[in-house]
Amino acid sequence: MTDNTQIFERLYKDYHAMVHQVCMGFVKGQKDQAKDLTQETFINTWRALDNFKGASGYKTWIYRITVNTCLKYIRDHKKKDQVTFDQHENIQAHEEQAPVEDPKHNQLYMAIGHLEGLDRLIIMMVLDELNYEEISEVVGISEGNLRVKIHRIKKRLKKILENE
Amino acid sequence: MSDILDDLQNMWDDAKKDKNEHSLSAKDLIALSKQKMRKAVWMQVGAIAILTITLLGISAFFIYVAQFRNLLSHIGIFLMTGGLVVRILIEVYSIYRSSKIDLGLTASNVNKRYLNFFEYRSRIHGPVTVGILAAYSVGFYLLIPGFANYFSTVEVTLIALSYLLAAAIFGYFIRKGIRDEMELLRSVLQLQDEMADEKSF
Repeated sequence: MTDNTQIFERLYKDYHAMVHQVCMGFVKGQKDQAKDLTQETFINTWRALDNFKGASGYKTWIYRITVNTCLKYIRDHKKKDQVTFDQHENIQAHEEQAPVEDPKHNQLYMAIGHLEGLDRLIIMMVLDELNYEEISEVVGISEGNLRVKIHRIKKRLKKILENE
Repeated sequence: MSDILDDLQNMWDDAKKDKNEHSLSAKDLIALSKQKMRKAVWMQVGAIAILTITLLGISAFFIYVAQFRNLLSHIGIFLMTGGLVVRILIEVYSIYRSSKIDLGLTASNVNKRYLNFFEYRSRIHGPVTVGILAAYSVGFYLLIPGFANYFSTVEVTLIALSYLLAAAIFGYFIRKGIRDEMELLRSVLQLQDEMADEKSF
């Protein structure tokens, strides 16, 4: 067994639950999509393994790949669905009304699902108790900007939860 | 604000406790990844193979069947096949370039690389694509007088007119492809703005 295979197996075992949870939040609790996205994230992890230089910890690195895979997913998904602007608007409206598949955590996923893609990912890192420095290392924006951004996201979330 | 967010935190922690089964083992995922990579490589090899076969076919046609010997026809053949070669090589290079984007970098860094990639694509879609289409069309019409040696006037006229239809269909799909990619570029730009300086708000 090669070193990379061993490392990958360990990463998969240690971080599968974390990645899956983020993917669930990102796709608003749609289990099949979350499963595909989790799979895609780990496929990307395997491909990027040779590039891992150890500048950050594995957790941060896996988080980066998860965030980038999710953002790429939303872009590709938009491209496939978006034939005309009007149709896109309809899809968005439909998505917002679509019930989440996981009724137990309905409120959680609906609230997060109302946010924009990047904001959704940032708040999930906050909920996952990553500190500002770690989130900044994942997203690549300064801690100062991150604080402002997180404050705005929390305000938005409060509004969403109060209106439900 | 904190009460509501505390509730959300509790919901998140609760959701984390849910067991989710691994649908695939790590080994299966590695195999799937290798399979996907092989598929991508074969698609590129396939594109080059199709190009080579097409070029050989066109060359054989003009060498053995329709022996166009005048300079204009030779220029026409060169423009048509040359345009095709450039187009396919650009596509193969684009696939290679996009596959080299390292997703292990920060989201902002990765987005900048996608931005560079889509800007490169937008440059390709501008003068390069128009130039290739123009070269192909000019090349085709330079061959028309040569066709007159093998076909009747009516048939040559039909060939000339049918190219217009083919060019219109081809143009439609190119335009659609460009629109889709420009939408991706807008989406990357929007994300770039979101990641930009928040202090100005």
